[in-house]
Amino acid sequence: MWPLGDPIARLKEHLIAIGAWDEARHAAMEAEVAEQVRAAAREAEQQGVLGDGLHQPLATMFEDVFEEMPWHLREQSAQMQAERDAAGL
Amino acid sequence: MIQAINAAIDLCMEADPDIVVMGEDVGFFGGVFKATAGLQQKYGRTRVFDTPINECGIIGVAVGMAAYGLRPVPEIQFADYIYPALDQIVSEAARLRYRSAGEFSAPITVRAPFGGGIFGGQTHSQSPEGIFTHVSGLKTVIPSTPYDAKGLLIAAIEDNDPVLFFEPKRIYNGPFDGHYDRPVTPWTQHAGSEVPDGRYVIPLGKAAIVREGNDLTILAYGTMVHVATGVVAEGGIDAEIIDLRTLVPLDIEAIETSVRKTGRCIVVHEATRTSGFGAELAALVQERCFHSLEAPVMRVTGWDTPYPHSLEWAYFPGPVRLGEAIKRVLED
Repeated sequence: MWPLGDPIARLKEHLIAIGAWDEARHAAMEAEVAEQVRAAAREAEQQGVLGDGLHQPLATMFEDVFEEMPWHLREQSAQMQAERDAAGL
Repeated sequence: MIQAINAAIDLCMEADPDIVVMGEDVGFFGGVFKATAGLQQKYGRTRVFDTPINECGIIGVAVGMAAYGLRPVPEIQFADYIYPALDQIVSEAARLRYRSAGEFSAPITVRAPFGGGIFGGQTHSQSPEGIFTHVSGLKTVIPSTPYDAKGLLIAAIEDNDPVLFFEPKRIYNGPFDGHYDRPVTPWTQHAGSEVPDGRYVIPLGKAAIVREGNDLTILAYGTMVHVATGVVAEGGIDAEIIDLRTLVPLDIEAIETSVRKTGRCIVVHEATRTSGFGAELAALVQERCFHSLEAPVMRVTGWDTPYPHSLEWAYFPGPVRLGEAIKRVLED
């Protein structure tokens, strides 16, 4: 896709060539950024991971479809709850 | 009915400076059916403007404006043209509130003339309401008289959810009982043509009992309300005719009360049969009123074909087809 190579790698080589960057600083930066991403992921996973079960109260599934919940959504929400109760969930 | 629609938009625009109208030919020309006549002159070209022939863009622009606080009333010139706008309606307007947890919403009212009986052929006669009733987050409203058109349209515009407002173009100028070879009787001769000046609202989600009866429930909307009224009168049938007015949210109580009383139910709509709104009505009626039914719920609908031109009157659910269905249901 890039006939001249990866543009980010090329920029790094260019900055090193003009004396504005070096391999040691690059390694340190990569380690710091990787830790930032890991920390952000850990914080996000505090909210729950997808396979983990339900994260929001079940009834919220029917909220905000309309400004006010019409009868058929109230009925379906109750039906969903009844189905889960019957299944012991 | 055109004047009623025009009055509704005018009243709303005067009261709320955030209301804007856009569509093909709605500004300078006042709309091909004159529904928006005079509005551009009165409110200016930033509030009432013409768009290119681009239904996707018309609704896309409306959704964007709505998300930022305006209250657009876009027009789709014929419901047959609505399909390029489907993605904007279904993927954006219908879901904006849900996926933003209420932070954004799309209080748009999409007006579109719909339905046949006007010799309009495949591209000017369709009834696509069943597509939109299937999509969560949309409301679908269909008036059958000038009085209802004004009250329902004001309610739709003031509603904070996206509303599809389908106007049965066959009855713009007068009710139609299905006898296409007779002259049009204008609205002035019909009780539903009395349209008060000033603002009044017909709440969405409420049906109207057009005729009380004991032997049969007929569920209808739009032009079919008048076809049913005509057939019932001509045949001396003691049918209860319910004009649904709003398809979603549906007035389920009115339907249940009626079918439990009569024990027989016919649904009539112009839209194609398979997966038409009649299928939903039939499902609801048999789910909720099964033990009250003396006969299966019948549907009298357009056939599962594109809307025909030269064979229109064999397709249109008119007095002959509805009359036959009524006979069969009552004899069951």
